Amino acid sequence: MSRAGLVLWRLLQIVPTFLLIGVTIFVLARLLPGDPVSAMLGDRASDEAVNRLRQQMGFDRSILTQFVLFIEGIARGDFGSSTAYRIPVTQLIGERLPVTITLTALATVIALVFAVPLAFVAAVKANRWPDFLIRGVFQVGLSSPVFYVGLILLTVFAAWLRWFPVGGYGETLGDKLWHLFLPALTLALSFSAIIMRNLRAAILEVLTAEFVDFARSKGLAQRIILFRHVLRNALVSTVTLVGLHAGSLLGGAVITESVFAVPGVGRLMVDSIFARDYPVIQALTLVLAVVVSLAFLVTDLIQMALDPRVAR
Amino acid sequence: MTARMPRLRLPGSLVAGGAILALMLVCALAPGLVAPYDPIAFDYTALLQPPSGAHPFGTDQFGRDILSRTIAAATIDIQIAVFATVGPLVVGTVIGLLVGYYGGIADMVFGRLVDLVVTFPFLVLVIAIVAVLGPGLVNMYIAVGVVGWVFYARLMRGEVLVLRNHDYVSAGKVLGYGEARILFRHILPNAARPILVYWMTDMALAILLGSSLGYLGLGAQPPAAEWGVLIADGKNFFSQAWWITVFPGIAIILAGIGFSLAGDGVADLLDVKR
Amino acid sequence: MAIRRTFLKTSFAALAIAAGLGTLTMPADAATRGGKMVYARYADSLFLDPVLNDANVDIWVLTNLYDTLLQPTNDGVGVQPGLATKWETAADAKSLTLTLRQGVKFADGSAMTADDVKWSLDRARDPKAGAWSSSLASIDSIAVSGETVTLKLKNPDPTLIPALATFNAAILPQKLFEATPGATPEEKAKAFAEKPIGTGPFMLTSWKRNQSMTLKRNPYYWKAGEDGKALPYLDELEFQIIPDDATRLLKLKAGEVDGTEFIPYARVKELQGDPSLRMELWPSTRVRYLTFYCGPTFKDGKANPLSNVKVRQALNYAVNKDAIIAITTLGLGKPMRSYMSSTTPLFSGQDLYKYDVAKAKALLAEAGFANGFETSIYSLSGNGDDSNDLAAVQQMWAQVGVKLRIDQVDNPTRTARYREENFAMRTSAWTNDISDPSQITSYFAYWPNIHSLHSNWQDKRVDELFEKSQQETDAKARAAEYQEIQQRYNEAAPIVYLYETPYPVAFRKNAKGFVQIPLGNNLFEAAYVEK
Repeated sequence: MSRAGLVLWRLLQIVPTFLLIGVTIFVLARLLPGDPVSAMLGDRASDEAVNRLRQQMGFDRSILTQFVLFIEGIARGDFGSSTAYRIPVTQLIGERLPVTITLTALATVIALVFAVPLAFVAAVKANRWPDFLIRGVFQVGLSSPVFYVGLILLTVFAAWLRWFPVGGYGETLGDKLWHLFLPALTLALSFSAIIMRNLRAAILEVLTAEFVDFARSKGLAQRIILFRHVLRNALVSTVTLVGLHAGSLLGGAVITESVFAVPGVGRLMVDSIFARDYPVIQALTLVLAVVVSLAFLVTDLIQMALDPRVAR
Repeated sequence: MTARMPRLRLPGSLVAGGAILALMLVCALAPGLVAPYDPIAFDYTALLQPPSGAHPFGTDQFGRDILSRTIAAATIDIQIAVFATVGPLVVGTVIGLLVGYYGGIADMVFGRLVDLVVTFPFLVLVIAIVAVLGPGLVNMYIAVGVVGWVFYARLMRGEVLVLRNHDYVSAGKVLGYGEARILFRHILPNAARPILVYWMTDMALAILLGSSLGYLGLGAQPPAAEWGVLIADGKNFFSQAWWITVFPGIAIILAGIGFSLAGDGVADLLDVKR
Repeated sequence: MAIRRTFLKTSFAALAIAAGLGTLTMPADAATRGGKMVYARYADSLFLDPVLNDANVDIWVLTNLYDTLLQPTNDGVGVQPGLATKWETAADAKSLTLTLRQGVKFADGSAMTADDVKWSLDRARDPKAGAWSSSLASIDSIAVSGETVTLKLKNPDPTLIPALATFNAAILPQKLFEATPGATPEEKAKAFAEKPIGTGPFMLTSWKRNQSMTLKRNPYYWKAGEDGKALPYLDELEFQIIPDDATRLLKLKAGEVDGTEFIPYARVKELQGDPSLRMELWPSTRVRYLTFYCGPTFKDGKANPLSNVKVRQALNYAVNKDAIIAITTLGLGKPMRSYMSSTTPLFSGQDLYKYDVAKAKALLAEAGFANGFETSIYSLSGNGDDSNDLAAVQQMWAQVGVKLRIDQVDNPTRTARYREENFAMRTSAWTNDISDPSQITSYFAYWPNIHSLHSNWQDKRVDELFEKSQQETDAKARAAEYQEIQQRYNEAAPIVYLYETPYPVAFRKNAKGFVQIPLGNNLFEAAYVEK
């Protein structure tokens, strides 16, 4: 299938997927004990006050009616208003989404910067001390809980050394990246270990494969070919991995964003679940699904470009 | 490059990883034998004691022995590592193998299913399911399993897509081998290594996920000890009683290293056989 | 003005003594004018409408935006002049006449009028308007003439004066509110609360949800500072939202914020020892307790051992409050001595349920539970105080044979189970919003309101006493009624009594003048940051 065809096909496939996601999250949200009104009014409100607000906000209607209204709203581009914050969902998500995307992109870059060169070193020096050292350090990173690493990084680099701000989010781009560096590093830690392991394994595999022997047999002048072979094959698996983890990176931002007080969608999502903020939960799930789908599509395209065998 | 080792010699990494995991398993299966104290017993005469002969890892704000609590927590964390990953491993591998090999409609359906599961933010789904079902370990396994298998399946499918064009697969077809034989005797062993490596990683990740949920209060329930819960409990005492958080943290890292070394060892072992 | 200033000074001194802080700052002559203060909060506000909100995250900051006719004193037990300078109750106690302060302006420069007052109070007392309207329910009608506002009452109401000093009775600009876009009053309120305008010391200029809130000085504010010029001292006040306790503290230590709230008790000592910081422990009306369900059967039809008063008393005797205070609050709390905090007016408690395992066992045996029983409690997941309290309680009750299962759930789940009255026990905390015991009593002890904390505990005599006290004009008689209510309630023990705690707040050494009153209100009007 051609690249344009693939893109088109994928976009078509997205429609039923999103409908399914919409239904799932809609039902899942309503399975949560309590509802937005009980979350809004807290412990003290009387039943009367609760019922009145429930009626006002339309949560007393049947689930089917609510679902139809929800879909109708989306068709008009109206995702409703946050029950917790009483502002349009689009405004809320519009403020938060760029933060999380910047955070995860920065984390991916940091992860790759650490993982790719060190994976090559580790593979080439496989089972010798540089390999053990690199793997050991990454392993500690992979095995450390995010909230713990976050606290340590905060204590050392922000509170003691004052190199970075403790938390929050800046105004200008540079300021934002500076604010996001420690959280991105925290997020990157385990991710880069996963990439490193996988890339090292992939490079090792390629190094032992026949076509490398073949290239090698043709003499040292063919090193460039070797490098290209190794690189391309190793990158295919790395790109797959990065794409696969786009979703979990977004999800992993949840705790990181809480620890570093980053105003992103990860925190918003968890807050919304705890506040039973149906409109935000629903819209945010769909928005994140769009982001992740795009990441997958791009992954596939890069995969195709790098390794023609994957294309059908 | 891996040297071809004599068959009787086990890879060093497997020995080291196995030793760590064996230690963890002993703690997990018989905490009573190893722990010096009852992990949930209070001791008002020994609140927030630093590490000492009597309490090698110190005590917490209730006077509970941190060493004993760290050991007791292994029971839960090792359980999380295994139970949260075995299901996804088996289901994901088989599905990935089948759809990768046969392609066609099954692959398309799988593709949609993957889209559905994978486009859902993972931790969010887990949190939502746990909130619906109520907190606790079993509900956590369910939530993790619903999503986890996809990563194995996608990895497997990718491997199969590359492998099915290999010479030995074609040769197998020419020789008239049954498809089951080709799938499970030829493709699976060759595709298994990255899966197994990922599984080991995944077990370490499961411990981290379990501890994250514990940190949010959605995982193991009190008074049960769990490494993540221990860390979260001790967080506010960090400046005056670092030992409450530090030792369970080391336990998590150690478990991660154990799984990783074991994974490498298994990979080497498979390599030798091949 | 003079009266008010003396008031402030005395209450400051009282606070300084109560909090045990020798160096608590007085709004001294040296107050710095101008500049900005950054204060880190654990959670963002939700809805800045004084009438329709329902959360402490709103209530505690509303006083920086809006004023009420009367204001709670800083010690939380009395009232002082606010937008009204004088108030007088008629001899028959059937009407209240207030004189408005002259020349007060809203933050947009428009004058506050008696019509605004009438309109605001009418809105606040509309029974459809929300949870708080009942506090003004005794008002029959409001008449306005010049600078005088007269409230005609349906019946005498001793709680009305403190109610007029409570956030929901804030005065809003009628014209601005009505000019706000929106088809219904609710929509208008929503839009108005985005850009609220009041007579308070600050006005909201920007609000990024769950991130930050910027308040600018209201140039028309009516209160004067120690230097004789108008308050507030600050040009700008920024609230940053940082939910993680540890992160908030690190930001304070790094100097990125000037102050922060909800310091974990475990960190108080450390901050007290930090020369760059000042730890403040403000007396509060906060009590932490566990609620029993007291009905004869649970929702699933099973018999409820907690319906037996002896069982509830036994469980109270089996709790070592001092040990829990030492563990959870590191000694900063003190044992509850009534269901209301000792800072509440008309508090008449005494030491309750002194730790006594033998007595607990005897009571359980009398109740037919010599071998104990199993019960469960809903607690808040991720809440350190809850998990500390319950780890201790679980262990203490095990000694008398009672096995406690802890179910950690999120807040809406706990609230839903509570409202359905489908729980055995739950963790709870309470702070008063009004300087009067009627609010807490109507929730805890008076069955017709919310079934006594949804416990379904009822004492007809208590209900009767409460209704009487609500119209009692004789202060002595009212105190006696409250004494009997507290005594009866405390004996019946529909709750497990735990502890009272102060509000732990910390500031950089150069950030001064913040006040948190026992009701929780955060006052920044006299706050300043020294250069």
